Amino acid sequence: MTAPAPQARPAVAARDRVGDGGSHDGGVCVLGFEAVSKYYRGVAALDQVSLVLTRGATLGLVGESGSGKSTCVRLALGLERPSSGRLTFDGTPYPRGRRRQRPLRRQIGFVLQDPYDCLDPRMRLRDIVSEPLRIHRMGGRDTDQRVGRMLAAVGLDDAPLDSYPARYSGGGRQRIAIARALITDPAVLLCDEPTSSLDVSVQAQIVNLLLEAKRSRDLSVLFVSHDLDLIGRVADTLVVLYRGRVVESGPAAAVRARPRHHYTKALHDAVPADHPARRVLQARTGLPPASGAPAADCCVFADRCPAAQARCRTERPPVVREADGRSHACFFPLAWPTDHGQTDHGQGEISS
Amino acid sequence: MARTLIRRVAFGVIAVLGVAVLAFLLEFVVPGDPARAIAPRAQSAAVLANIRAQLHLNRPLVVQFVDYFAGLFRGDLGTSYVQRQSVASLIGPRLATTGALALAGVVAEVLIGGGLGIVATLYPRVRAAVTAVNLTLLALPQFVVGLVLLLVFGFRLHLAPVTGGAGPAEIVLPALTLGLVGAPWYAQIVADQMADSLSSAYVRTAVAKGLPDRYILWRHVLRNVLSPAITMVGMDLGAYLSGVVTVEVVFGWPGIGLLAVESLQNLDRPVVMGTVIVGAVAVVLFNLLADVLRMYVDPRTREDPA
Amino acid sequence: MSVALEVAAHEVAALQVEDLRVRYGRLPAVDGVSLRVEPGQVTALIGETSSGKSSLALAAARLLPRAAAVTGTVLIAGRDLTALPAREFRRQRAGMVGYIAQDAMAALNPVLPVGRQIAELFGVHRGMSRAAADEQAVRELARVRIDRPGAVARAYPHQLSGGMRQRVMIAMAMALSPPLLIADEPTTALDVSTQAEILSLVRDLQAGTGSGILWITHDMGVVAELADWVAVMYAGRIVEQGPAAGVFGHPVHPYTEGLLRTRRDLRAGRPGTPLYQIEGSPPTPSADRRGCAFAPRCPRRTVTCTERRPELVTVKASHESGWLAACHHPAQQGAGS
Repeated sequence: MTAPAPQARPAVAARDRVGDGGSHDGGVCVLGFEAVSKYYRGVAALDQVSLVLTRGATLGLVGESGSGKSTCVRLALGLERPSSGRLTFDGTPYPRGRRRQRPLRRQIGFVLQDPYDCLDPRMRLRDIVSEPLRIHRMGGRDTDQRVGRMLAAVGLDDAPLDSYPARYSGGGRQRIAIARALITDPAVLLCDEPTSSLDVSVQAQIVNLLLEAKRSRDLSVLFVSHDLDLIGRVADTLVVLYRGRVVESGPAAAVRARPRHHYTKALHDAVPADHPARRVLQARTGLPPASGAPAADCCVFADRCPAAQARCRTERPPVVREADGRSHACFFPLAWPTDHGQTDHGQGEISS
Repeated sequence: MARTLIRRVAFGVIAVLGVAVLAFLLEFVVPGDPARAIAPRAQSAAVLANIRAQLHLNRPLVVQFVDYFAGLFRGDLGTSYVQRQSVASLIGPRLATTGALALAGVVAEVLIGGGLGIVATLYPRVRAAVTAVNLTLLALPQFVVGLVLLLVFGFRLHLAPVTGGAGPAEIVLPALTLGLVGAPWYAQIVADQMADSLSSAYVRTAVAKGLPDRYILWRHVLRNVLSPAITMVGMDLGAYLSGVVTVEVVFGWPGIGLLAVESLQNLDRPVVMGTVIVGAVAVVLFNLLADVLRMYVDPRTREDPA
Repeated sequence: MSVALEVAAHEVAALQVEDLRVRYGRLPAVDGVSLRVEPGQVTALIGETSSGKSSLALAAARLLPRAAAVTGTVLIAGRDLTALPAREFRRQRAGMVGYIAQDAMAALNPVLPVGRQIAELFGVHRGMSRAAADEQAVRELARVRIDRPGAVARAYPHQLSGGMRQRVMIAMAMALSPPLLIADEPTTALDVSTQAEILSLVRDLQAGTGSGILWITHDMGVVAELADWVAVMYAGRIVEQGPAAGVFGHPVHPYTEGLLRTRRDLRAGRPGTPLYQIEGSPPTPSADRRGCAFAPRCPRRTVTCTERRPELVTVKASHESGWLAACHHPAQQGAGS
């Protein structure tokens, strides 16, 4: 495998890229999905998904159950291969075969959702955190010290190295998982719902820890979650997934405040209120339930969309790229008033 | 669900064919010259060579192989070297008698084992005693149990017949032997599944619904216990039908197992292979039936996991 | 500490709990809780891991295993069910309290169609024939806004989506129209859009039946959407309880304040900046705790807090009696809203 060339731009047509880190010059693509599709038994878990994680950015992947976000995580970790399309790291495609993927794995640290499942209950703390070092042959005499420093960095200064995971709470375990993820000094950190299983009062601690780790280590972060608010708080760019397709992407603030796609808006509207006097869910009738697997040539949200028209059911909406780095896949996107008193209908060039 | 079943049947067929091939090949490991087995007092090599020619033993291996498999597909298992009868006609009646014993044995072990399991779960105070009983039964080999039963009930108490035979009176002791030896397995899974079920969230829901205890036990708990029990029954029936050799020998039960032992001693190759193949078919068939029954009882097993 | 029983004494509470204690061995899970749920209203119980909220819910529904030691009074619609002989208790419980579990997949029998599981209630308790009970079950499913209720009634739990299963549980709990519903985090495992639909469904249903609901959750947003009254639970005790609007506007206890502030910061804080966080972790149950359980994490703690446990006292200057908080340094109160 040739050494990755850090400055190389991905050799893929611009039309296949959706969302480019919110900056016009694109930045360096550290992790990329190029028109990735993944089928399980004939059903598409991912359907032409493209996304770009640029260096130093945080890309938020938002989706509910069935959106395909877990599949994205598995593909990004090299645990499975896409049915079509490809993944790139630092511009070069993911190599085949476990041995050849090893250098790549060293560069991607990951923290997954369930803190009670992700640590081997029979391994001691020292072994859990140092395992990646052993796997990637980065061990040495100073392993214990490195583990100690890493644990201190995640707030577990006094944790005895030969303790077992059982001794730690959910938050504590997640910190151990983060220490393990960062010990090889990776370039990318992949977080799959890292706080969803934690107590509310502890979630903020872990998120802050991740933010700090990103800042101090100059990481590029792919943050996957179903929580629109949380992602809006930590990510620069958002990609919204629905049933295996990207429906919208762009700078986080813009996507949350002025969503183009009706699904994004529905997600936003479903978040409960802040105060009993300002309830939002009372008069909802909600969306109709999703029907079976969507056909390939229609909008994946058509059966539930309040704005769906005939065209949506017979044609697949192309990805439209707007001027400010936003994209959406909708024939009738939501329009918002601009500061200049005009209405922004979300026009842009069609990219596929 | 149909796809799953078709897949199972296909694998079953492959399994049987695989067994047949293995059986055929193993033949060549068994020492002894069949010709000599047929004519033990023959002196001249010419006579032996003649016999071998008659049995097609002098043909190349591959040809014998093809001949045999062609015969299998026709339902012809060959002819016994020793008894001058078709193998199928020898095995046929034995199949029925072993079948009866297998069925009786399974009923016995389900009743005894299931009973022990249920008692252990519902009456925690006797659980230790039940475990002791289970361990004892597990430790005893089949032939010991069989012989002890025969000794006590047959010879001492004169309650059961001691001569061979295949009638309803004669089936009691061998079936009981199988039942006692197999019981601990059923006791274990029944007890485990029941304990699991009783502490589950859905039983808690049933309690919250105010359903009577007996109703909960019957409709909610036992249905969930059936699934693994059915799997085991299928396995057991299949295994027994391929010949419960030990029990048949101890009690002189005229079944397939006894036939296989005799044929092996006589180097009666076709019969031995016949019993092996019939056994394989029985195992596959009953496991398949158990699968179908389980699919009916437990809807989660109707599709293969993705 | 007795809850203000003077409040609307002429109306029987859907649920009234007095000094409830639940112990597993030596460890207290619920450490002296008193609580009321009014008919037609939702009382939300908010707490995190080891707060004891699930044990409280199970104790109130009388579903705890025998291993748990339960003391205290639980009155459902004014009646103490445990005073009844076992058989009567069993007969009456489904008509008095409906329990909605968190994990619907585990709480439904995997080998029976869901329609049957609802129909059982009518068969056993109302003496309906099998056919009549099955029909009634389909009607109950329609009531919780399930499309094609007939088909769903014939389905098995593993064939339904999480949201549908939860609706089935709600239908099952409401089938015999009990005056009290106890819901233990039923929307926690659901997508936010599914949760939104379930919450609005529950409010509508309650308006129709007038039953009281005790809704357990860890999500302040759910409390805001549903609750008339909120009780905040920490380490087995109630640390604040009061009218939802009041508590949200002017929380008194630092833990309540912390929870609200965390949520607000998440929703409205500047992206990329650190989130407001409560320090430390929720405590594990302990038999001998001195002082306030929240003290190690509390920004307002003093020495008193580590030595003396604060009792629930009426919040000063509140116009609603019944607003209580247990803190040595409660927040300064404006008028309750």
